[in-house]
Amino acid sequence: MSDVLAGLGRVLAAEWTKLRSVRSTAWAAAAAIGLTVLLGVLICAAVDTSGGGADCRPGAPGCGDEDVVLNSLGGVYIGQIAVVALAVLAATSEYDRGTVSTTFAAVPRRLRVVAAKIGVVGAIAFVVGLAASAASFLAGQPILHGNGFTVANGYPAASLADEPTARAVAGTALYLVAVALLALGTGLILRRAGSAIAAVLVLLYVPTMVALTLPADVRDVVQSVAPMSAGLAVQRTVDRFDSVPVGPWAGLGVAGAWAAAVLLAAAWFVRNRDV
Amino acid sequence: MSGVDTAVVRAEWTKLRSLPGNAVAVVAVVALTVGLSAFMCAVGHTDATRPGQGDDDVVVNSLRGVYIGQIAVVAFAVGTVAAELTTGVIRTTFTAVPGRRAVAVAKAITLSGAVLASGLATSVLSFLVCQPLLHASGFRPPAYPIVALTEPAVVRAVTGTALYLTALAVLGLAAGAIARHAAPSITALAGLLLAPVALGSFLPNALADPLQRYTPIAGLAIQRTVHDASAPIGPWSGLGVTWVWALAASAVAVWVIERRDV
Repeated sequence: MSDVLAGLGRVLAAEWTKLRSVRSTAWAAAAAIGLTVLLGVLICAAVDTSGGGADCRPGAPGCGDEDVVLNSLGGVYIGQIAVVALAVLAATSEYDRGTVSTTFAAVPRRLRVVAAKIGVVGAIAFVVGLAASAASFLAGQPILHGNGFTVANGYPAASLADEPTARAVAGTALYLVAVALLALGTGLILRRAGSAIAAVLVLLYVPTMVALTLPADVRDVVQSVAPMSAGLAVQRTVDRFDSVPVGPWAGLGVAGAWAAAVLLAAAWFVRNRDV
Repeated sequence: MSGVDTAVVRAEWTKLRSLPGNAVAVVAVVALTVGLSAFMCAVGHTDATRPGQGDDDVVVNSLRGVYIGQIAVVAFAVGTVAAELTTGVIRTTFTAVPGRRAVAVAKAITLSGAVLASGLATSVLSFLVCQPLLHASGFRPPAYPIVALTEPAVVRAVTGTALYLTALAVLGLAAGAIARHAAPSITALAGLLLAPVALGSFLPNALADPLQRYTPIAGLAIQRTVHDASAPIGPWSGLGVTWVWALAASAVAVWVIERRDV
């Protein structure tokens, strides 16, 4: 057992060296944090508390039911694109250059390589994700406060010490881990960066794009099983008329299940295929 | 037209069609695109029964698969040029044809032709597959009169979708040539095409409207056949915006290609 662990430790160290020594990793990590915070700030600057007029029905849009935590974390819709690129490249750049043959000559137990890539990519995604979501939250709250989201208007200040807020911020990082592992698995299966990035982005965004025009019953099903719309339920701290009908942790579980399924398929391909 | 060398165009066409993976990719993408359109038409439903009551755009619904098709077109276009640049085969190409602008023009012509033809086939197929499905979902006269492929608005939507995809192919080709690597170009373009629509309900109008008006997705307005006063941009101006992106990027790409070592 200790031999296995020692072996895995060396492979992990090798994968970490590979990933941190290419420029694309640092670029993508910086882009993920920068884009997430930037879009989060833009959203916070543009939302207001208007709409609470005499004709206001409970739960209708703009009727004092804005989710100030979710709004400040909205930047992940763009930031995740950089995480996808980072994770796909962690798999495909070795196939592009053929160095994967060297990797498998050095570590013939291929699943150990896959496990090490999962560990390294998952850890980077979590750290980057947590930095991005915490920074977005902290940058967004004062802007929202300035836009009228104050106690007087029914919006008590959100704090990272509160359970739903902490869950939303940490959950966003976990969601990005799921997205990164989904992308890593897709990269290992398709072996081409372009195809893998395109496939993952279609899987993430297209269900949400078409859901807007689907009848309510079908839309609820699509949004509850699609990785992005379900996974981002973890950011919700207020139940609204347009909330995806899945619980925060259950939704995150759906995104995790997608990642697990794709990684299983990837492990099968890596093990049973020529390189 | 100056700058077009038919021998170079034929050479580029041979490169494009002789990769076995390309044919597989085209069939898969057409199937996914028509499949998404058919799904949207099959699961939709309406309660409208009186004339004038129906306000859904059944033509847009039948062409919804473009959300997938557009990403495939971009990935394919970027991949085509990036593969030649990263493997160094481009040096052979430029040795055989030292006029680099002619190579760029030939690549744009062959890829646009292929995408225009397959995009048109996909749009027509999507439309034809969808009409009976919509009918079964309750989109029937009198609320929803039968629409024929030959009606001017439908012709505009169907051919316009193919022209939109063609613009994206040119844009992808230019982006791939400028960046020389597939990953950054595809990431940037796919993000630009997908994120604004996915963010739609979430973004305040102050951010959403400019995205629909000035980014390449403006071209999707060409699919609209029902008048919508609140639409950020008209059908033809929207398609024009996408083509402005494509042509501007092409100009930059040609400028870069003629000045850069390979």
